[in-house]
Amino acid sequence: MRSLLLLTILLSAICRADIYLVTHKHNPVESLTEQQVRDLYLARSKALPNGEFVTVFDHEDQVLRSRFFKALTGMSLRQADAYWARLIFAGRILPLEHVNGEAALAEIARETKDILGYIDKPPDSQLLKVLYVIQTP
Amino acid sequence: MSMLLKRRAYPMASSLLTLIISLFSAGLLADPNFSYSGFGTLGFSFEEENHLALLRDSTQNKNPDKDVSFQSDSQLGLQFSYRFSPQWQATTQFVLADKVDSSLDAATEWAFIGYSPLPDIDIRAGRLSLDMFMLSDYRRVDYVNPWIRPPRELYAWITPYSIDGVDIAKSISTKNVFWRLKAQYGASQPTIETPEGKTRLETELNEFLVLALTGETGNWEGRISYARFTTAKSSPGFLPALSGIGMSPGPLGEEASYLANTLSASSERHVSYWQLGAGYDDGRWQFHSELARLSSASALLPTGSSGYLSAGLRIDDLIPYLSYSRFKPDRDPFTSSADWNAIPEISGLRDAALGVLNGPMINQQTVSLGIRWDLARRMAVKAQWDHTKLEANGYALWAFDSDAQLSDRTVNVVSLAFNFIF
Repeated sequence: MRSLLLLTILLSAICRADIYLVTHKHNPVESLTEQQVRDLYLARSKALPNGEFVTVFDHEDQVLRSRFFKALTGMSLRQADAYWARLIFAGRILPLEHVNGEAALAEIARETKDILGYIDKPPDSQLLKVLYVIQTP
Repeated sequence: MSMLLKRRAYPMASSLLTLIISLFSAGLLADPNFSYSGFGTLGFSFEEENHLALLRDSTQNKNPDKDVSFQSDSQLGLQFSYRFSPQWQATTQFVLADKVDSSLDAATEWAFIGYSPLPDIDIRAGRLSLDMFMLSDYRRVDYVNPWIRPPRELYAWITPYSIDGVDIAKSISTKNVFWRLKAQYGASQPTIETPEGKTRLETELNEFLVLALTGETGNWEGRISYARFTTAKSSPGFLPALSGIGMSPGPLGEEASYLANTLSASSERHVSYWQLGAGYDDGRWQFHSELARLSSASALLPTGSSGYLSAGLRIDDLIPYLSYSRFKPDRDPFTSSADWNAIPEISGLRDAALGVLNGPMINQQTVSLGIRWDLARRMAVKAQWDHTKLEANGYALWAFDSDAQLSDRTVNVVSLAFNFIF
Protein backbone atom coordinates (compact mmCIF):
# COMPACT_ATOMS: atom_id res chain seq x y z
CA MET A 1 0.00 0.00 0.00
CA ARG A 2 2.73 2.36 1.02
CA SER A 3 4.93 1.55 -1.97
CA LEU A 4 1.92 1.90 -4.22
CA LEU A 5 1.37 5.36 -2.79
CA LEU A 6 5.02 6.24 -3.37
CA LEU A 7 4.81 4.97 -6.92
CA THR A 8 1.70 7.04 -7.49
CA ILE A 9 3.46 10.09 -6.15
CA LEU A 10 6.49 9.54 -8.34
CA LEU A 11 4.51 8.88 -11.47
CA SER A 12 2.11 11.70 -10.95
CA ALA A 13 4.89 14.13 -10.16
CA ILE A 14 6.26 13.46 -13.60
CA CYS A 15 3.00 13.54 -15.47
CA ARG A 16 0.91 16.42 -14.18
CA ALA A 17 0.33 19.22 -11.71
CA ASP A 18 -1.05 17.13 -8.88
CA ILE A 19 -1.96 18.32 -5.38
CA TYR A 20 -0.41 16.69 -2.33
CA LEU A 21 -2.18 16.35 1.01
CA VAL A 22 0.50 16.41 3.68
CA THR A 23 0.83 15.95 7.43
CA HIS A 24 3.61 15.66 9.99
CA LYS A 25 6.06 12.87 9.23
CA HIS A 26 5.44 11.24 12.62
CA ASN A 27 1.68 11.29 12.37
CA PRO A 28 0.61 7.62 12.75
CA VAL A 29 -1.85 7.93 9.85
CA GLU A 30 -0.24 6.76 6.62
CA SER A 31 -2.89 7.51 4.03
CA LEU A 32 -6.33 9.01 3.47
CA THR A 33 -9.07 8.14 1.02
CA GLU A 34 -10.54 10.76 -1.29
CA GLN A 35 -13.73 10.81 0.76
CA GLN A 36 -11.82 11.35 4.01
CA VAL A 37 -10.00 14.32 2.47
CA ARG A 38 -13.29 15.69 1.12
CA ASP A 39 -15.01 15.33 4.50
CA LEU A 40 -12.14 17.18 6.21
CA TYR A 41 -12.16 20.05 3.69
CA LEU A 42 -15.97 20.36 3.76
CA ALA A 43 -15.91 20.40 7.59
CA ARG A 44 -17.90 17.19 7.72
CA SER A 45 -15.17 15.57 9.78
CA LYS A 46 -12.76 16.96 12.35
CA ALA A 47 -10.50 13.98 12.86
CA LEU A 48 -8.08 11.74 11.04
CA PRO A 49 -9.02 8.05 10.68
CA ASN A 50 -7.15 7.27 13.93
CA GLY A 51 -9.66 9.46 15.78
CA GLU A 52 -7.29 12.33 16.56
CA PHE A 53 -8.60 15.87 16.09
CA VAL A 54 -6.72 17.49 13.22
CA THR A 55 -6.11 21.14 12.35
CA VAL A 56 -6.86 21.61 8.66
CA PHE A 57 -5.07 24.32 6.66
CA ASP A 58 -6.16 26.00 3.46
CA HIS A 59 -3.79 27.63 0.96
CA GLU A 60 -3.25 31.30 0.21
CA ASP A 61 -2.83 30.75 -3.53
CA GLN A 62 -6.29 31.29 -5.07
CA VAL A 63 -5.40 29.46 -8.31
CA LEU A 64 -4.31 26.40 -6.36
CA ARG A 65 -7.37 26.65 -4.09
CA SER A 66 -9.59 26.78 -7.14
CA ARG A 67 -7.98 23.63 -8.63
CA PHE A 68 -8.08 21.90 -5.26
CA PHE A 69 -11.77 22.44 -4.51
CA LYS A 70 -12.80 21.71 -8.11
CA ALA A 71 -10.93 18.40 -8.18
CA LEU A 72 -11.95 17.34 -4.68
CA THR A 73 -15.57 18.51 -4.46
CA GLY A 74 -16.60 19.55 -7.96
CA MET A 75 -17.29 23.04 -6.60
CA SER A 76 -16.08 26.25 -8.16
CA LEU A 77 -14.12 28.48 -5.82
CA ARG A 78 -17.16 30.74 -5.53
CA GLN A 79 -19.32 27.82 -4.47
CA ALA A 80 -16.67 26.56 -2.06
CA ASP A 81 -16.30 30.02 -0.49
CA ALA A 82 -20.07 30.33 -0.13
CA TYR A 83 -20.25 26.83 1.36
CA TRP A 84 -17.60 27.73 3.94
CA ALA A 85 -19.19 31.12 4.63
CA ARG A 86 -22.45 29.36 5.46
CA LEU A 87 -20.69 27.08 7.95
CA ILE A 88 -18.72 29.93 9.52
CA PHE A 89 -21.69 32.26 9.83
CA ALA A 90 -23.78 29.38 11.16
CA GLY A 91 -21.28 29.13 14.00
CA ARG A 92 -20.52 25.54 13.07
CA ILE A 93 -16.84 25.82 12.29
CA LEU A 94 -14.02 28.34 12.61
CA PRO A 95 -12.45 29.68 9.42
CA LEU A 96 -9.46 27.67 8.18
CA GLU A 97 -6.11 29.32 8.47
CA HIS A 98 -4.66 29.99 5.01
CA VAL A 99 -0.95 29.24 4.76
CA ASN A 100 1.50 30.04 2.05
CA GLY A 101 2.85 26.67 0.98
CA GLU A 102 5.23 24.07 2.23
CA ALA A 103 7.58 26.22 4.31
CA ALA A 104 4.69 27.58 6.39
CA LEU A 105 3.28 24.08 6.94
CA ALA A 106 6.71 22.76 7.93
CA GLU A 107 6.99 25.57 10.44
CA ILE A 108 3.64 24.61 11.96
CA ALA A 109 4.73 20.95 11.99
CA ARG A 110 7.49 21.87 14.43
CA GLU A 111 4.76 22.52 17.00
CA THR A 112 2.17 19.82 16.34
CA LYS A 113 1.77 16.64 14.37
CA ASP A 114 -2.03 16.65 14.00
CA ILE A 115 -2.16 18.86 10.92
CA LEU A 116 -3.36 18.55 7.34
CA GLY A 117 -2.50 20.87 4.47
CA TYR A 118 -2.08 20.76 0.71
CA ILE A 119 0.74 21.83 -1.59
CA ASP A 120 1.34 21.71 -5.33
CA LYS A 121 4.43 19.48 -5.35
CA PRO A 122 5.79 16.62 -3.26
CA PRO A 123 7.21 18.01 0.00
CA ASP A 124 10.94 18.65 0.26
CA SER A 125 10.73 19.12 4.01
CA GLN A 126 11.81 16.20 6.19
CA LEU A 127 8.99 17.12 8.59
CA LEU A 128 6.15 16.42 6.14
CA LYS A 129 4.78 13.34 4.44
CA VAL A 130 2.09 12.72 1.82
CA LEU A 131 -1.27 11.19 2.81
CA TYR A 132 -3.10 11.51 -0.48
CA VAL A 133 -2.53 12.79 -4.00
CA ILE A 134 -5.25 14.52 -5.98
CA GLN A 135 -4.67 14.11 -9.68
CA THR A 136 -5.78 17.24 -11.48
CA PRO A 137 -5.96 17.78 -15.22
CA MET B 1 -37.27 27.87 32.94
CA SER B 2 -37.32 31.04 30.92
CA MET B 3 -36.53 33.21 33.91
CA LEU B 4 -33.65 30.95 34.82
CA LEU B 5 -32.17 31.25 31.39
CA LYS B 6 -32.88 34.93 31.19
CA ARG B 7 -30.93 35.67 34.37
CA ARG B 8 -28.08 33.42 33.51
CA ALA B 9 -27.58 34.07 29.84
CA TYR B 10 -27.22 37.83 29.93
CA PRO B 11 -24.21 37.82 32.27
CA MET B 12 -22.91 34.96 30.12
CA ALA B 13 -23.17 37.10 27.00
CA SER B 14 -21.58 40.13 28.62
CA SER B 15 -18.77 38.21 30.28
CA LEU B 16 -18.02 36.53 26.97
CA LEU B 17 -17.97 39.93 25.37
CA THR B 18 -15.53 41.15 28.00
CA LEU B 19 -13.41 38.09 27.41
CA ILE B 20 -13.37 38.66 23.67
CA ILE B 21 -12.54 42.36 24.04
CA SER B 22 -9.71 41.70 26.48
CA LEU B 23 -8.32 38.97 24.23
CA PHE B 24 -8.63 41.32 21.30
CA SER B 25 -6.71 44.10 23.03
CA ALA B 26 -3.94 41.68 23.97
CA GLY B 27 -2.45 41.70 20.50
CA LEU B 28 -4.75 38.92 19.44
CA LEU B 29 -4.76 39.66 15.72
CA ALA B 30 -1.39 37.96 15.38
CA ASP B 31 -2.61 34.84 17.19
CA PRO B 32 -3.54 32.14 14.65
CA ASN B 33 -6.15 30.81 17.09
CA PHE B 34 -8.11 34.03 16.82
CA SER B 35 -10.27 34.61 13.77
CA TYR B 36 -12.70 37.25 12.68
CA SER B 37 -15.21 37.33 9.84
CA GLY B 38 -17.96 39.64 8.80
CA PHE B 39 -20.88 40.15 6.49
CA GLY B 40 -22.90 43.09 5.38
CA THR B 41 -25.58 44.46 3.13
CA LEU B 42 -26.17 47.97 1.92
CA GLY B 43 -29.75 47.80 0.76
CA PHE B 44 -32.39 50.06 -0.64
CA SER B 45 -36.08 49.31 -1.10
CA PHE B 46 -39.00 51.22 -2.48
CA GLU B 47 -42.79 50.78 -2.58
CA GLU B 48 -45.56 53.27 -3.32
CA GLU B 49 -48.28 52.17 -0.90
CA ASN B 50 -50.05 54.48 1.51
CA HIS B 51 -50.19 53.46 5.17
CA LEU B 52 -48.08 50.38 4.47
CA ALA B 53 -44.32 49.79 4.59
CA LEU B 54 -41.97 46.92 3.87
CA LEU B 55 -40.35 44.98 6.72
CA ARG B 56 -37.54 42.52 6.26
CA ASP B 57 -38.65 40.96 9.53
CA SER B 58 -40.84 41.75 12.52
CA THR B 59 -38.01 42.85 14.81
CA GLN B 60 -37.62 46.09 12.84
CA ASN B 61 -38.92 49.55 13.64
CA LYS B 62 -42.27 50.08 11.97
CA ASN B 63 -43.26 53.23 10.14
CA PRO B 64 -46.25 52.71 7.81
CA ASP B 65 -45.71 56.06 6.09
CA LYS B 66 -42.23 55.24 4.86
CA ASP B 67 -42.00 54.30 1.17
CA VAL B 68 -38.24 54.45 0.64
CA SER B 69 -35.96 52.61 3.01
CA PHE B 70 -32.26 52.03 3.49
CA GLN B 71 -32.94 50.38 6.83
CA SER B 72 -34.97 47.35 5.84
CA ASP B 73 -32.09 45.34 4.37
CA SER B 74 -28.93 47.18 5.43
CA GLN B 75 -26.95 45.45 8.14
CA LEU B 76 -23.45 44.73 9.31
CA GLY B 77 -22.30 41.63 11.19
CA LEU B 78 -18.97 41.03 12.88
CA GLN B 79 -17.97 37.65 14.20
CA PHE B 80 -15.03 36.85 16.45
CA SER B 81 -13.84 33.40 17.40
CA TYR B 82 -11.11 31.98 19.50
CA ARG B 83 -9.96 28.40 19.34
CA PHE B 84 -8.61 27.26 22.71
CA SER B 85 -7.93 23.78 21.34
CA PRO B 86 -9.28 21.67 18.46
CA GLN B 87 -12.10 20.77 20.86
CA TRP B 88 -12.92 24.09 22.57
CA GLN B 89 -13.88 27.41 20.98
CA ALA B 90 -15.72 30.61 21.79
CA THR B 91 -17.62 32.66 19.20
CA THR B 92 -19.49 35.90 19.36
CA GLN B 93 -21.38 37.78 16.66
CA PHE B 94 -22.55 41.37 16.78
CA VAL B 95 -25.11 42.66 14.31
CA LEU B 96 -25.96 46.26 13.59
CA ALA B 97 -29.33 46.43 11.86
CA ASP B 98 -32.66 48.16 12.15
CA LYS B 99 -34.00 46.70 15.40
CA VAL B 100 -36.64 47.91 17.85
CA ASP B 101 -34.23 47.09 20.66
CA SER B 102 -30.96 48.87 19.95
CA SER B 103 -29.12 47.76 23.11
CA LEU B 104 -25.75 46.01 23.10
CA ASP B 105 -27.56 42.97 24.42
CA ALA B 106 -29.78 42.88 21.33
CA ALA B 107 -26.78 43.52 19.07
CA THR B 108 -25.08 40.46 20.56
CA GLU B 109 -26.79 37.88 18.45
CA TRP B 110 -24.41 35.13 19.46
CA ALA B 111 -22.07 34.50 22.34
CA PHE B 112 -21.34 30.86 22.94
CA ILE B 113 -18.78 28.31 23.98
CA GLY B 114 -18.45 25.32 21.68
CA TYR B 115 -17.09 21.95 22.69
CA SER B 116 -16.56 18.76 20.71
CA PRO B 117 -16.15 15.81 23.09
CA LEU B 118 -15.83 13.53 20.05
CA PRO B 119 -14.99 14.44 16.44
CA ASP B 120 -18.61 13.89 15.37
CA ILE B 121 -20.33 15.64 18.31
CA ASP B 122 -20.69 19.42 18.71
CA ILE B 123 -22.11 20.98 21.85
CA ARG B 124 -22.71 24.73 22.19
CA ALA B 125 -23.97 26.74 25.15
CA GLY B 126 -24.76 30.43 25.49
CA ARG B 127 -26.55 32.61 22.97
CA LEU B 128 -27.00 30.60 19.76
CA SER B 129 -28.50 31.15 16.35
CA LEU B 130 -32.05 29.79 16.37
CA ASP B 131 -31.83 26.95 13.84
CA MET B 132 -35.52 26.85 12.98
CA PHE B 133 -35.59 26.56 9.19
CA MET B 134 -33.11 25.88 6.37
CA LEU B 135 -31.68 29.43 6.13
CA SER B 136 -32.11 30.39 9.78
CA ASP B 137 -28.44 30.04 10.72
CA TYR B 138 -27.40 32.59 8.09
CA ARG B 139 -30.58 34.46 7.23
CA ARG B 140 -28.79 37.78 7.64
CA VAL B 141 -25.86 36.76 5.43
CA ASP B 142 -27.37 37.85 2.14
CA TYR B 143 -24.19 37.10 0.18
CA VAL B 144 -24.68 33.34 0.63
CA ASN B 145 -28.37 33.43 -0.28
CA PRO B 146 -29.65 33.96 -3.81
CA TRP B 147 -32.18 36.74 -3.07
CA ILE B 148 -32.24 40.26 -1.67
CA ARG B 149 -33.71 38.75 1.51
CA PRO B 150 -34.97 35.30 2.55
CA PRO B 151 -38.56 34.76 1.30
CA ARG B 152 -40.61 36.84 3.73
CA GLU B 153 -43.57 34.44 3.80
CA LEU B 154 -41.36 31.89 5.56
CA TYR B 155 -38.83 34.06 7.42
CA ALA B 156 -40.14 37.56 8.15
CA TRP B 157 -42.48 36.49 10.96
CA ILE B 158 -39.74 34.62 12.88
CA THR B 159 -38.85 37.16 15.55
CA PRO B 160 -35.93 35.52 17.36
CA TYR B 161 -32.59 35.37 15.58
CA SER B 162 -31.03 33.69 18.58
CA ILE B 163 -31.94 31.81 21.72
CA ASP B 164 -30.22 31.53 25.07
CA GLY B 165 -29.69 27.86 25.66
CA VAL B 166 -27.80 24.81 24.48
CA ASP B 167 -27.60 22.64 21.40
CA ILE B 168 -26.01 19.37 20.48
CA ALA B 169 -25.32 18.03 16.99
CA LYS B 170 -24.20 14.64 15.77
CA SER B 171 -22.62 14.21 12.33
CA ILE B 172 -22.75 10.98 10.38
CA SER B 173 -20.73 10.72 7.19
CA THR B 174 -21.67 7.73 5.08
CA LYS B 175 -20.34 6.90 1.65
CA ASN B 176 -23.00 8.92 -0.16
CA VAL B 177 -24.70 11.16 2.34
CA PHE B 178 -23.57 13.50 5.10
CA TRP B 179 -26.19 13.54 7.86
CA ARG B 180 -26.45 15.92 10.76
CA LEU B 181 -28.88 15.56 13.61
CA LYS B 182 -29.32 18.51 15.92
CA ALA B 183 -31.32 19.31 19.03
CA GLN B 184 -31.61 22.80 20.46
CA TYR B 185 -33.27 24.08 23.63
CA GLY B 186 -33.60 27.52 25.14
CA ALA B 187 -35.61 30.70 25.36
CA SER B 188 -35.77 34.10 23.71
CA GLN B 189 -37.27 37.49 24.53
CA PRO B 190 -37.42 39.53 21.32
CA THR B 191 -38.81 43.05 21.41
CA ILE B 192 -41.19 44.00 18.62
CA GLU B 193 -43.58 46.82 17.83
CA THR B 194 -47.28 46.96 17.15
CA PRO B 195 -48.07 47.21 13.40
CA GLU B 196 -48.28 51.01 13.31
CA GLY B 197 -45.01 51.32 15.25
CA LYS B 198 -46.33 53.22 18.25
CA THR B 199 -46.08 50.66 21.04
CA ARG B 200 -43.30 48.31 22.02
CA LEU B 201 -44.08 44.71 22.92
CA GLU B 202 -41.74 42.60 24.99
CA THR B 203 -42.38 39.03 23.89
CA GLU B 204 -41.27 35.76 25.41
CA LEU B 205 -40.70 32.48 23.66
CA ASN B 206 -40.17 29.88 26.35
CA GLU B 207 -39.16 26.22 26.34
CA PHE B 208 -38.04 26.54 22.73
CA LEU B 209 -37.13 23.15 21.30
CA VAL B 210 -35.81 22.49 17.79
CA LEU B 211 -35.08 19.05 16.34
CA ALA B 212 -33.53 19.00 12.88
CA LEU B 213 -32.15 16.39 10.51
CA THR B 214 -30.18 17.62 7.51
CA GLY B 215 -28.65 15.62 4.70
CA GLU B 216 -26.17 16.58 1.99
CA THR B 217 -25.34 14.49 -1.06
CA GLY B 218 -23.64 15.70 -4.21
CA ASN B 219 -25.38 18.89 -5.29
CA TRP B 220 -28.38 18.29 -3.04
CA GLU B 221 -29.24 19.23 0.49
CA GLY B 222 -32.39 18.44 2.42
CA ARG B 223 -33.82 19.11 5.81
CA ILE B 224 -36.74 18.07 8.00
CA SER B 225 -37.34 19.72 11.33
CA TYR B 226 -39.75 20.22 14.17
CA ALA B 227 -39.80 23.19 16.50
CA ARG B 228 -42.04 24.24 19.34
CA PHE B 229 -42.20 26.82 22.06
CA THR B 230 -44.60 28.15 24.69
CA THR B 231 -45.95 31.67 24.57
CA ALA B 232 -45.73 33.93 27.59
CA LYS B 233 -48.47 34.47 30.13
CA SER B 234 -50.23 37.46 28.64
CA SER B 235 -53.44 39.37 29.07
CA PRO B 236 -54.39 42.57 27.26
CA GLY B 237 -55.32 45.46 29.56
CA PHE B 238 -58.84 45.68 28.15
CA LEU B 239 -59.66 42.02 28.85
CA PRO B 240 -61.49 42.55 32.18
CA ALA B 241 -63.76 45.18 30.60
CA LEU B 242 -64.42 42.91 27.62
CA SER B 243 -65.22 40.00 29.95
CA GLY B 244 -67.54 42.30 31.85
CA ILE B 245 -69.55 43.04 28.70
CA GLY B 246 -69.53 39.30 28.06
CA MET B 247 -71.76 38.88 31.14
CA SER B 248 -74.57 40.84 29.51
CA PRO B 249 -77.34 38.91 27.71
CA GLY B 250 -77.95 38.93 23.96
CA PRO B 251 -75.72 38.90 20.85
CA LEU B 252 -73.43 41.65 22.16
CA GLY B 253 -72.71 39.69 25.36
CA GLU B 254 -72.16 36.47 23.41
CA GLU B 255 -69.71 38.11 21.03
CA ALA B 256 -67.81 39.91 23.80
CA SER B 257 -67.60 36.69 25.77
CA TYR B 258 -66.31 34.78 22.72
CA LEU B 259 -63.62 37.38 22.01
CA ALA B 260 -62.61 37.50 25.69
CA ASN B 261 -62.40 33.71 25.92
CA THR B 262 -60.32 33.51 22.74
CA LEU B 263 -57.89 36.05 24.17
CA SER B 264 -57.69 34.31 27.55
CA ALA B 265 -57.10 30.98 25.85
CA SER B 266 -54.13 32.43 23.92
CA SER B 267 -51.89 32.81 26.97
CA GLU B 268 -49.15 30.22 27.70
CA ARG B 269 -49.89 28.10 24.64
CA HIS B 270 -47.73 25.74 22.64
CA VAL B 271 -46.80 26.76 19.11
CA SER B 272 -45.39 24.11 16.80
CA TYR B 273 -43.72 24.10 13.42
CA TRP B 274 -43.04 21.30 10.97
CA GLN B 275 -40.65 22.08 8.15
CA LEU B 276 -39.37 20.36 5.00
CA GLY B 277 -36.69 21.88 2.81
CA ALA B 278 -34.55 21.06 -0.21
CA GLY B 279 -31.79 22.83 -2.07
CA TYR B 280 -29.86 22.08 -5.26
CA ASP B 281 -26.84 23.79 -6.77
CA ASP B 282 -24.76 22.26 -9.54
CA GLY B 283 -22.85 25.45 -10.23
CA ARG B 284 -25.25 26.29 -13.05
CA TRP B 285 -28.80 25.66 -11.81
CA GLN B 286 -29.99 26.54 -8.34
CA PHE B 287 -33.25 25.43 -6.75
CA HIS B 288 -34.50 26.10 -3.26
CA SER B 289 -37.77 25.16 -1.67
CA GLU B 290 -39.22 24.96 1.83
CA LEU B 291 -42.60 24.15 3.26
CA ALA B 292 -43.71 24.79 6.81
CA ARG B 293 -46.82 24.16 8.85
CA LEU B 294 -47.45 26.40 11.84
CA SER B 295 -50.03 25.49 14.43
CA SER B 296 -51.09 26.77 17.82
CA ALA B 297 -54.08 27.11 20.09
CA SER B 298 -53.02 30.74 20.57
CA ALA B 299 -54.74 33.28 18.34
CA LEU B 300 -51.93 35.79 18.88
CA LEU B 301 -49.52 34.21 16.40
CA PRO B 302 -49.66 33.58 12.68
CA THR B 303 -50.72 30.01 11.97
CA GLY B 304 -51.20 28.18 8.70
CA SER B 305 -49.05 26.88 5.85
CA SER B 306 -46.13 28.59 4.29
CA GLY B 307 -43.62 27.84 1.57
CA TYR B 308 -41.55 28.99 -1.33
CA LEU B 309 -40.06 27.70 -4.55
CA SER B 310 -37.12 29.41 -6.23
CA ALA B 311 -35.01 28.76 -9.32
CA GLY B 312 -31.89 30.50 -10.57
CA LEU B 313 -29.53 29.98 -13.50
CA ARG B 314 -25.90 31.01 -13.41
CA ILE B 315 -24.65 32.62 -16.62
CA ASP B 316 -21.03 33.59 -15.95
CA ASP B 317 -21.19 36.23 -13.21
CA LEU B 318 -24.95 36.70 -13.41
CA ILE B 319 -27.75 34.70 -11.81
CA PRO B 320 -31.27 35.68 -12.84
CA TYR B 321 -33.80 34.10 -10.47
CA LEU B 322 -37.52 33.67 -10.06
CA SER B 323 -39.39 32.70 -6.92
CA TYR B 324 -42.89 32.21 -5.63
CA SER B 325 -43.77 32.26 -1.96
CA ARG B 326 -47.00 32.09 -0.06
CA PHE B 327 -48.47 32.16 3.42
CA LYS B 328 -51.94 30.70 3.75
CA PRO B 329 -53.64 31.15 7.14
CA ASP B 330 -55.53 28.24 8.70
CA ARG B 331 -58.31 30.38 10.14
CA ASP B 332 -60.66 33.15 9.07
CA PRO B 333 -60.28 36.62 10.50
CA PHE B 334 -62.39 37.40 13.54
CA THR B 335 -65.37 39.55 12.62
CA SER B 336 -68.08 41.32 14.49
CA SER B 337 -71.83 41.03 13.81
CA ALA B 338 -73.31 42.34 17.06
CA ASP B 339 -74.26 45.98 17.42
CA TRP B 340 -71.55 47.53 19.57
CA ASN B 341 -72.43 51.05 18.54
CA ALA B 342 -75.38 51.11 20.93
CA ILE B 343 -72.89 52.13 23.61
CA PRO B 344 -70.20 54.32 21.97
CA GLU B 345 -67.65 53.76 24.77
CA ILE B 346 -67.45 50.04 24.16
CA SER B 347 -67.03 49.95 20.39
CA GLY B 348 -63.37 50.83 21.02
CA LEU B 349 -63.07 47.59 23.01
CA ARG B 350 -64.31 45.59 20.06
CA ASP B 351 -61.82 47.29 17.74
CA ALA B 352 -58.99 46.65 20.19
CA ALA B 353 -59.93 42.97 20.51
CA LEU B 354 -60.21 42.50 16.75
CA GLY B 355 -56.91 44.35 16.27
CA VAL B 356 -55.08 42.04 18.66
CA LEU B 357 -56.66 38.90 17.18
CA ASN B 358 -56.37 39.79 13.48
CA GLY B 359 -53.14 41.78 13.63
CA PRO B 360 -50.87 38.72 13.68
CA MET B 361 -52.56 37.10 10.66
CA ILE B 362 -50.62 36.65 7.44
CA ASN B 363 -52.35 36.07 4.12
CA GLN B 364 -50.28 36.86 1.05
CA GLN B 365 -48.38 35.51 -1.93
CA THR B 366 -45.40 36.96 -3.72
CA VAL B 367 -43.75 36.49 -7.09
CA SER B 368 -40.16 37.76 -7.12
CA LEU B 369 -37.96 38.33 -10.11
CA GLY B 370 -34.36 39.31 -9.59
CA ILE B 371 -30.79 39.21 -10.74
CA ARG B 372 -27.56 38.71 -8.87
CA TRP B 373 -24.21 39.89 -10.16
CA ASP B 374 -21.04 38.52 -8.58
CA LEU B 375 -18.94 41.56 -9.32
CA ALA B 376 -15.86 40.43 -7.40
CA ARG B 377 -14.76 37.73 -5.02
CA ARG B 378 -17.02 37.82 -1.93
CA MET B 379 -19.11 40.71 -3.26
CA ALA B 380 -22.44 40.68 -5.03
CA VAL B 381 -24.99 43.18 -6.27
CA LYS B 382 -28.66 42.27 -6.52
CA ALA B 383 -31.78 43.84 -7.91
CA GLN B 384 -35.23 42.42 -7.21
CA TRP B 385 -38.84 43.13 -7.94
CA ASP B 386 -41.49 41.68 -5.63
CA HIS B 387 -45.13 41.57 -6.60
CA THR B 388 -47.26 40.72 -3.57
CA LYS B 389 -50.96 39.97 -3.47
CA LEU B 390 -52.10 40.87 0.02
CA GLU B 391 -55.49 39.83 1.45
CA ALA B 392 -57.53 41.85 3.93
CA ASN B 393 -56.68 41.00 7.55
CA GLY B 394 -53.45 39.31 6.54
CA TYR B 395 -50.98 42.18 6.83
CA ALA B 396 -48.66 41.02 9.61
CA LEU B 397 -45.53 41.02 7.43
CA TRP B 398 -45.83 44.78 6.91
CA ALA B 399 -45.92 47.91 8.99
CA PHE B 400 -49.47 49.22 8.62
CA ASP B 401 -52.06 51.59 10.03
CA SER B 402 -54.96 49.66 11.52
CA ASP B 403 -57.54 50.79 8.93
CA ALA B 404 -55.26 49.87 6.03
CA GLN B 405 -55.58 46.13 6.60
CA LEU B 406 -59.30 46.05 5.90
CA SER B 407 -58.90 45.72 2.13
CA ASP B 408 -57.11 43.48 -0.37
CA ARG B 409 -54.32 45.04 -2.38
CA THR B 410 -51.30 44.32 -4.52
CA VAL B 411 -47.93 45.76 -3.58
CA ASN B 412 -44.85 46.17 -5.74
CA VAL B 413 -41.48 46.47 -4.04
CA VAL B 414 -38.26 47.28 -5.88
CA SER B 415 -35.01 46.59 -4.04
CA LEU B 416 -31.30 46.99 -4.69
CA ALA B 417 -28.53 45.62 -2.51
CA PHE B 418 -24.79 45.31 -2.27
CA ASN B 419 -23.65 42.24 -0.29
CA PHE B 420 -20.23 41.32 0.99
CA ILE B 421 -18.47 38.90 3.30
CA PHE B 422 -14.96 38.92 4.64
